[in-house]
Amino acid sequence: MKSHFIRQMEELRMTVLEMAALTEKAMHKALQAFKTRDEKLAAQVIAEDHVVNQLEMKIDNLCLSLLALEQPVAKDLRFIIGALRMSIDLERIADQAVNIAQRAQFLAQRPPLEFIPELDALAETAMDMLRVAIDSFARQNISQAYDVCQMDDEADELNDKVLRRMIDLMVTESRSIERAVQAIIAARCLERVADQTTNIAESVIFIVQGVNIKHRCEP
Amino acid sequence: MKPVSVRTRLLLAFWVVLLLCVLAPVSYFHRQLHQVLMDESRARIRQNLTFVLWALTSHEPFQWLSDLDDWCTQVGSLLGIRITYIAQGGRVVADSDVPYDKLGFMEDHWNRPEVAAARREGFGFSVRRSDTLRKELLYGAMPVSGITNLPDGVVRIAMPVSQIKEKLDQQRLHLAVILGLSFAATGVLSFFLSRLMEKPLAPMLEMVRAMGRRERPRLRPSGYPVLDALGETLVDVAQRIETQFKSMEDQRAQLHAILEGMKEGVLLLDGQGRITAANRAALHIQRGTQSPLGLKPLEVFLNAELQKACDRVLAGQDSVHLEVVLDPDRFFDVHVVSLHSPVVPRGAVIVLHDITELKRLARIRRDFVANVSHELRTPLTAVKGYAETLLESPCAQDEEAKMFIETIVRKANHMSRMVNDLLTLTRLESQPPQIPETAVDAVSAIASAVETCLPEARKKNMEIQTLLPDRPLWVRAERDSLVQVFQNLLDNAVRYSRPNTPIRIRAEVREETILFAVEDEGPGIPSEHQARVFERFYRVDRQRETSTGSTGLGLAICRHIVQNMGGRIWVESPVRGKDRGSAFLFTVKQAAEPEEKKSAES
Repeated sequence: MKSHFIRQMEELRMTVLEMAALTEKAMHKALQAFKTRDEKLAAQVIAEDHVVNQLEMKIDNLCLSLLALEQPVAKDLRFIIGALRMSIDLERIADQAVNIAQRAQFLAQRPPLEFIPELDALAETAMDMLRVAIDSFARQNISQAYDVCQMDDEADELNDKVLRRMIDLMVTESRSIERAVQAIIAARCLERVADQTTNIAESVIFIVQGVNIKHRCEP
Repeated sequence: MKPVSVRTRLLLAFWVVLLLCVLAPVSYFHRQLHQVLMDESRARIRQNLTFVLWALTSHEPFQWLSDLDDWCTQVGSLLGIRITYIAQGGRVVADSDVPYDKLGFMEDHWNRPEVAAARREGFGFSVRRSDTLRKELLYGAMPVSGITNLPDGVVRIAMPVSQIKEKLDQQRLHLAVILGLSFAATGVLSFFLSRLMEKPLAPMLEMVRAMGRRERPRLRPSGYPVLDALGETLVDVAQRIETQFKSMEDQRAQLHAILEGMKEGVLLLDGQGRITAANRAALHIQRGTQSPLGLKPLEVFLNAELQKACDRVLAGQDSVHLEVVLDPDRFFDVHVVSLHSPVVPRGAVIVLHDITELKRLARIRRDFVANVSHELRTPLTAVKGYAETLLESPCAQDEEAKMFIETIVRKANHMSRMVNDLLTLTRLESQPPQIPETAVDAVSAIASAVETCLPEARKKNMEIQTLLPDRPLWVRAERDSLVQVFQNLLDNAVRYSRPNTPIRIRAEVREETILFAVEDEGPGIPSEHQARVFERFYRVDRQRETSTGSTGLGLAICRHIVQNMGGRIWVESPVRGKDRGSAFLFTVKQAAEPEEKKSAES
């Protein structure tokens, strides 16, 4: 028979994974809605955000009760701290998904903007990072987590490129300023997602290895 | 506990038997003999004592006590016994074996057991080891009194225990020696016996060991029929086990090959919800490339719905069927089935079927139909418009030309209805089934459907009877869709029934749903067609394809609408309690009466 503590830790792990899965789905749907100008899908993303918020609160409570009642040590303690940090990051990513969905809703009502390959690449990069980061947590895979850290620079670069392209567009064509700004905000959201995903990867490294690599991105 | 070897058991058994057989009778006879001996000694000593006493009293009076001592010595040596005269108080006055001058050194004899007994009972007897003579002696004592010149006291005589007694005692020693020798002999015997017994078992042991190593057992005859029979049985059993093992291995290999060859991903969960087995297809579906064994579905697929389905099945539900989207954009039809047999503890099987391609094809078909219908609409409108204009123009004066143009208009109308139906159907298919929240009064919906169909029914002289309660029936539906369902069903009834027959609409309020039925008295639908009439363009009677003017999509639309409202539609033919006709039945979820209606009424 498993002890109460082990069962609770298991539940915590499962809840974080569930939250991660939902966040990834929300992000995926938001980007889909953005790309296909699907207002309904965007509305769905916005409506489903509360589930992620509830899970964040559940994780908070679980961590708090585990810390208060069980006095965990070593890896268990790191796991709880890591899970707490991850839940915050995941919740923010889900909020970014809502943000992108809102941009999508707005842009769907306007004539389509010209195709921005950098924004597409940025979306893909952010999504890949998120997917790999969540996988690295699910399988406790350190090398994947380091990969995520390396990909962050790429995301920053792409964000800059989108910004420059949009500024060029606004200079030449004033009618599309409103839409261009929305695209810039979306790109900014994606860049934030990439940053928060890096944080998740750092949490995974902290949980598994016990080293804090914040702001350094190397062991 | 360490098991006791056969040899030791045998030895112990021998010893116990030996002890029982030797010691019990020997000790019995020994005791008997001893008793006889004692009785005889007692009698002899009494006789001797009586004689000594008689001799003492009939002797002339002793002058000195030393004379008594001399007399005692003489009589003692004649009889071969020791005579002691003990005066009252325990002082020894005379003793045949002790010189007179040494009597003073002798200890007090008053409390010797035989003396004490003699004083009490007149005769005392005991067997003791004499410290003086260092051997076992029989003692007998009797009190004496009233002899001249002698003090009152006790006369005691002692004589050696008979030779037999000594022999008897010696025999104990012999017995012990004999017993020791027999123990040693049985030790040797048991060693050989056990060897003899174990020897034929050794090849059998070797054979069973070989069976354990799954080698082919070789039976060597031991010379003992029972053991040989046992050996044969063992070989037989071993061969049967081997055969079963082989067939099980074959089955396992087959199953493995089937599982590995399957396109569907299959995973096995144990009672804790951890993956214990997965086939190759499942490995391709999972995220990452690591082995999923020992993990939970959520960790492997990162899909919360799938995990919840597994949890539900592990908690006791028989099976769950769901559709999940696994990354990136791959659709899976998932069956989670609970697994409980007496051998395997509770678990579950997950079967993942990739339906991405199916979905894509369905979407392409839907898009194609929608696009084609849409593209057909424009030219059709033009055809219809021009044909109608032509009908009004002088060209239509000619009877033949008028007939042609009318046919064009009729067919164009038919085609346009079909295009509209196709578009409706595509729209319904692309909508996710969602039970509407709006409450609609079914009675009024039926009324408006009846109104639409009434002209056609009147043409065939058919009556539409609505057997409904005179209160509103609130259902969860969209009004237009509900009206369309009734309209399509009534259309069919009017179209396929014989003239002059009634059409009935019934309603039955159930627990959570309301059942509606549209019955006619037409030819009915043969049972082999009943399951398929809801398919698009499916017709029971191919001959009447064109004559009825239906699009062939009405029932398909009905089914989609009803299913999207969370209901069920089916056909019963012939109508219950009759021999003909058909009844189309469907259920819709009940709704609460809307608030504004309530307040309006009050």
